Amino acid sequence: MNSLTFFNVDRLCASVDLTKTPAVIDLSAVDFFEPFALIYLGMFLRHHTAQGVGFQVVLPQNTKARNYLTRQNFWQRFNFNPATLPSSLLQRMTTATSLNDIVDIERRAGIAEEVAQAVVDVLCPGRFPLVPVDVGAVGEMVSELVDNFALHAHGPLAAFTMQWYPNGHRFDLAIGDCGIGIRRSLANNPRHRAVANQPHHAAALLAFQPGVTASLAGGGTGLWEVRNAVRRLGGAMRLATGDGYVQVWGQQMKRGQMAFDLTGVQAEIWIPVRG
Amino acid sequence: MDLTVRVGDLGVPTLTRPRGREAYHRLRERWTEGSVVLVLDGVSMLSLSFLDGIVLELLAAGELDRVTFVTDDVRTEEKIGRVAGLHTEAVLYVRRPSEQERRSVVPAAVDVEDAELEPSKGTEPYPSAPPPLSARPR
Repeated sequence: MNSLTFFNVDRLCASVDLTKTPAVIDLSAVDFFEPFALIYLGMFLRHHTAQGVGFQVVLPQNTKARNYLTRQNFWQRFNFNPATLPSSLLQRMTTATSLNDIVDIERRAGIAEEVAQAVVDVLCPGRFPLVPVDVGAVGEMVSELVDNFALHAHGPLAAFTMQWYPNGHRFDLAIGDCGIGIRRSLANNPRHRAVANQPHHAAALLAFQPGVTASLAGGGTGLWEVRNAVRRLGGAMRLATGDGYVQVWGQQMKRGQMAFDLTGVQAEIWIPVRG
Repeated sequence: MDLTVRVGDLGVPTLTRPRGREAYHRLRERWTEGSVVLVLDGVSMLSLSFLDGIVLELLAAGELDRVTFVTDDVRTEEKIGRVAGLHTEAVLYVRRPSEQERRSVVPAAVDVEDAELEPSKGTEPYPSAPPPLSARPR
């Protein structure tokens, strides 16, 4: 294994024996963490730590990979139960100062617009954007995804990160939580009770339909609009919830099964950028 | 002459549905009679959820026909079309700044999409092989 990505992070998590004390996560062969994998692994740690699992991590042998995790306070950030951490400590982790920072997102009123503006401020700190990407569109997508977490996850904390690959002509962002996940969230809605008996990937697909959670107050357009924006930008999106996933690429949508059943929702958006 | 209000002057972030509803109430504080032109340009972000929040309030109040949305941004006009597609019982009106007359928004098709069920994640659908060490992220 070299890069930890959407395609192998679930297998890594599935290989961890959670019955052992401590449970060992072997990252020795990893030399790069893509945003989705970073967030997914973080949510894996956070969820199981809250369940009382103790972890031992074999750190990457690759110096750059190891140093990146250290710079991001990866273990301190995810190896705790957010329900018991004092709010004052959470606040210190919620300010993005640059690309590649991992940002914690608290569930509270106004968080979606705050995080979206923070992302825009990082991407466009001055008159011209730092990253040659549609900054406004990125901010809008972030707003929709963070709002989804705040409205539907029923968890106290999410995480967000972004990376720009100048030579790869690519910009990635990822967000994840270990809340109740899409299937349970939809099944709480009287219109969608039957989804409780369907695979997670079917529930995830349903979540992309416009008005899926609409009531008299409106709603249910977040993922649909993010998908529209991703397509307009010529990008792609991956979303995992439970043991299901949905991928969006061009006009294609595909769904299937992850190798691990992780509660919550973890998503990544990839956007091609100009050279 | 219609009152003209710029959405950025309403003093609320132009993101999320609740903020859209709040923007409507701010608008109503300035708009007390007749019709209004709501200019949607001039803000760095304008989400569909926000627009939907405004439209939902206007719809509930029976005031949609008194509002003209103005934008020079194709993307914003497309969003208005999608909002119109979500509320087929409503008629939204829009015009470009350079146009004199408003026109009713053509609702965008709001289709339910299926997704192919695949036996495995397969090969990556887009070029995302690990970048070379010299091209690590900034």
